[in-house]
Amino acid sequence: MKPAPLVYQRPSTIDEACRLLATGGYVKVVAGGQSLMPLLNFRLATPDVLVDLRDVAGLVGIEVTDTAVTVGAMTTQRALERDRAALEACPLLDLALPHVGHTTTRNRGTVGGTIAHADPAAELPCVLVCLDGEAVVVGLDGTRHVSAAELFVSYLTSSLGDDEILTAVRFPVLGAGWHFGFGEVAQRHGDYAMAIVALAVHIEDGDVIEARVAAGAVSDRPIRLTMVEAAIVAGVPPNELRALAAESVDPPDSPHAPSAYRRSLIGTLVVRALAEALA
Amino acid sequence: MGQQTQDLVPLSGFVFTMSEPMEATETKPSWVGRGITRVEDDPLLRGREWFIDDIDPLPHAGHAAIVRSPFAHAQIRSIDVSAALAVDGVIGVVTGAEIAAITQPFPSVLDVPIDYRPAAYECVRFAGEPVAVVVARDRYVAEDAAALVVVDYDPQPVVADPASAAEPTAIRLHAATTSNVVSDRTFRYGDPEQAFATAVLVVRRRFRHPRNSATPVETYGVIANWDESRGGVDAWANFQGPFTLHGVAAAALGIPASKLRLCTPPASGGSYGIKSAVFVYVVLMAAVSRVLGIPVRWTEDRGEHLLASSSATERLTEIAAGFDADGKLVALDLDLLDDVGAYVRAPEPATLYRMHGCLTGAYDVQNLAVRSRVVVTNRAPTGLNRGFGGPQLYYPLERTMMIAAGELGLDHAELIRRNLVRSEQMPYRAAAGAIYDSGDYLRCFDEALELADYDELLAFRDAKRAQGRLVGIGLAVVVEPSVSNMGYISLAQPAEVRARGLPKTGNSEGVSIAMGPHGGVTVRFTSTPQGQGHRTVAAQIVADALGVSLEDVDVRTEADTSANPWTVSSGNYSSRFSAVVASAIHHAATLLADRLKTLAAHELGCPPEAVVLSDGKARSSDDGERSISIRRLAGGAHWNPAGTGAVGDVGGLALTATYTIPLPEPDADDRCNTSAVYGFIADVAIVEVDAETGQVQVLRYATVHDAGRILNPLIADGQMMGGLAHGLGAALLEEHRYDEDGNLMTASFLDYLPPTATELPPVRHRAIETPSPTTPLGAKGLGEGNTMSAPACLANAVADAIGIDAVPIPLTPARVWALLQGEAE
Repeated sequence: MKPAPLVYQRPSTIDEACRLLATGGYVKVVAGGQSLMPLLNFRLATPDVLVDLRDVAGLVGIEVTDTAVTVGAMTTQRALERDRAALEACPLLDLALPHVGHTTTRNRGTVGGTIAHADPAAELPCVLVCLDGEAVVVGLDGTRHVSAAELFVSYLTSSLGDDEILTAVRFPVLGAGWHFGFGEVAQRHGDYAMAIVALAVHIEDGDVIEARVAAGAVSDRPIRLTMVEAAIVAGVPPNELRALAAESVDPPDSPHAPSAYRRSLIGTLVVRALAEALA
Repeated sequence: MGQQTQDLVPLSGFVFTMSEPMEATETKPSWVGRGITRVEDDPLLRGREWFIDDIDPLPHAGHAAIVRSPFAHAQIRSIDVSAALAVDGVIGVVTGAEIAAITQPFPSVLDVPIDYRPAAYECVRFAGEPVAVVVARDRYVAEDAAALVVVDYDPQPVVADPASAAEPTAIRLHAATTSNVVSDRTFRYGDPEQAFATAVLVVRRRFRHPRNSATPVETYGVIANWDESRGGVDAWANFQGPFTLHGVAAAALGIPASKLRLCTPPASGGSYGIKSAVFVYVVLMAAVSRVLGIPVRWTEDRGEHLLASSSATERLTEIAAGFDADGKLVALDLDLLDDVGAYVRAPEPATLYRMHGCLTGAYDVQNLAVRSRVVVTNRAPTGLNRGFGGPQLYYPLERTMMIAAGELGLDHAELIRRNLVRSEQMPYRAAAGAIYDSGDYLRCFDEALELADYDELLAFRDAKRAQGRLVGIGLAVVVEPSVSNMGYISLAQPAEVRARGLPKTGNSEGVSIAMGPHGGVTVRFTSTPQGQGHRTVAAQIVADALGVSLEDVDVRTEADTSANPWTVSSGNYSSRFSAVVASAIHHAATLLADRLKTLAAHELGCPPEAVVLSDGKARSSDDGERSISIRRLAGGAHWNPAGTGAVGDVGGLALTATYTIPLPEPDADDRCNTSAVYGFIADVAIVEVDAETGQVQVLRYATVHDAGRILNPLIADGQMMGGLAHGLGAALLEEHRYDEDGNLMTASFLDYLPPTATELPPVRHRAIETPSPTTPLGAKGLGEGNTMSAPACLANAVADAIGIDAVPIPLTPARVWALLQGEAE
């Protein structure tokens, strides 16, 4: 359980980091290492070059505005969890972050790392999809903003180009009238989720006028459940909503969670997250 | 009631009534019985302890990486090591065939033709079986090269579960055997046929106890050197005993046991039984060292540990329990099939026999029929695991009692009460030969109900059920044996075969004790502690016997078979410390105290019997004014033995003594007192099942132990809680799952899930103390009991909550959800 031989690089600027990524071969970026290091030790990932971003300036920090919470990629999950202003502006983060691993892993794990890692069973990608957030990405050709819908491609695969580095994550602030729910089921607290639901509803005069529902751990990427969103707005009763949500996903089997079970969990979690948001 | 029931709402985290810690400096009449804080803790908490991976007794050792089979069953056509040898930094590659050429098959208590070696050499029989060892300048290079060893396998059909392996038509794992069922014994005690015939109710059920494991933080580690000039081996390993396995390792190496020096490091990162099996790697690395001519070291990684170290046996049980009209259990029939994996690795098939004498558990029933079978499968070999044989017994037995209570229309607690062995029956001879030495089971059980607030739980459950919630209560009672009788394993042989061999009754421990010229005491023994605080408790016992303070006593527990006192039964297993090791420490310290009293009598002018040792002084009980310091006595014995009036052995302040609890060998009728002493535990749990997600939440857990006299309540608390955590993991989370091709599906911590602090429920516990008449200090073992009881108790609680009898463990959310959908397994 030792990594295969690799070249370890520690650039101090984004530009330098992008150039290292562009040199060709199999190059991996490491941030907090909480997901990548086990993959290296298992030799499931055997990059030729490992680019460690810890010395790159300008990647840490949280900015809260009326429209977004912008989190520097190398900001730890723990730092975000302890930023009251960010959590108040974006309550879904407050609900989701306690489910991200454990305190000790959140001390090391970064917000940018978990987004760029693109694990469909991770919480923050699901939150980003729910909120229609975006990633700030820098490459040799400059900076671009990638929407959550375009960012996550498949298992552990994002749409970042070979020379690109995710530098920040923007979680939109939805503002007054929005209420949130979040739920997940894992074997133990902090384990890989068997199902995740992140939910936001816009309530006006007691009616839900808009709903956003994202599901994690049931596909190759976090997905929006648009039919469920429409059903919520239409006021479909909980039992029908549960069935609709369950039917709207087609998760794979896994040793601890057969597909039918995960499907059922999504139904349950949607109903519970909605109840939480409406409470 | 309303207010009270609110208290049962799940608490987060871990509520645990600890015994009060007590500082070691306080002066009290007796050290034993007090919650002294552990001397072990300071270096552990500061990160200053020395574990196997920290020590370097043989400098310049090569680092080994093991090439393991990806197939559960395959012939090895060829192995090409040339690419591995070409890697810069590689010292050598040794194949299974080279190792087979210089080793002997591991001996087994079963007389079956199974050629078990530390590495496979013609045929691999489980995924993860070693086939070659690469030795390099460091582990990184060794792993790089191991990936380049090319093994040409010819995959064979796989028998991956015990039921199909036991079929007469199954592919045989070992060509020279006639069946994969390598042992098949039947036992009959009392008149079970007659008792079943007259029973008004017979409950018959089948149970499967899955493979699970103990998962210590520290994995296996070995440092070994073949000493050509001596024709022997020096080895360091985080071995925990039993030292029967030392002889097994020596036999495999083809050397006399005296030529295998086996040492352990000062500290252990836990074992819970599983490190007994490191002996296989002691042989493997010693053989590799012999081939390459250099010392070799190997530290197992987590992947190797989960895949190929050891685990509890999977057991299939068919149980029948007969009851009379009063709910009295009148007969028990147990058909047990244990999957020991690809080879019968010693001490297996001990999982079947460790509990044999007490197969009737805590119940007074004298009619018992047993069939015990051992089957080999294409899975990793099994072995010691906390509770060893207990969880496999009590899950079926205690589930069956609860099912019977339902069918008899009795409250489960009432059925237990009617059947518990009574205190006036002590010492009680159980059907299969165990002699329960002491205990008040009924009182202990009632205290558990009281501690749990059973009436409150019943009201809470009914109130929640009225709201449609799934709340259930579970009970379990277990007899917890400690100190194994070395003779029990020979129950695997028929009486007539047994009679031809050397009778076995061992359980002894040896202790060396010495007082230096300044009155300091050093103590050494071979209990190979794995975190249980043996050094602290030993110091308490010695300080009491010699009348000195704890700081005067230095206890060393590193094993060294060339220097320590030890016996074949030494080691850290069957909860033997409190009962037999503590007795041996007490015995040796008492002998040393007698010598001090003889010296003091000379000085004080009184008979030795009149000397009292306390507070660092020897006093005459005839004349309390007269005293002499123990330090001065020790100085005299060292510097001026002639002047002490007691020369020769009498005046020496260093001695080694061995203590043995007298136990019988199995009798001609296969009755065996399989352990020296027997404790008792009663558990009560209440759970809520989430009907939609299948998640089980333990709302409250109460456990009451009677483990005789508690030597150190603080340490006892920790042992009970640790045992309970293991039991909870087995009940709700842990299983080594194999697919039909024999691949382990739970080979990393992504999929093998031991409980963590967040999974532990609020626990209430209490110890009542019925001193054992068998041991001089009155103590029994207690660290394994809740591992035996908790799976049964929690399975009962879940069954009660969901109203379904067939509750397979572990009760994972997906499994419970499937049960709620009406899907039986």
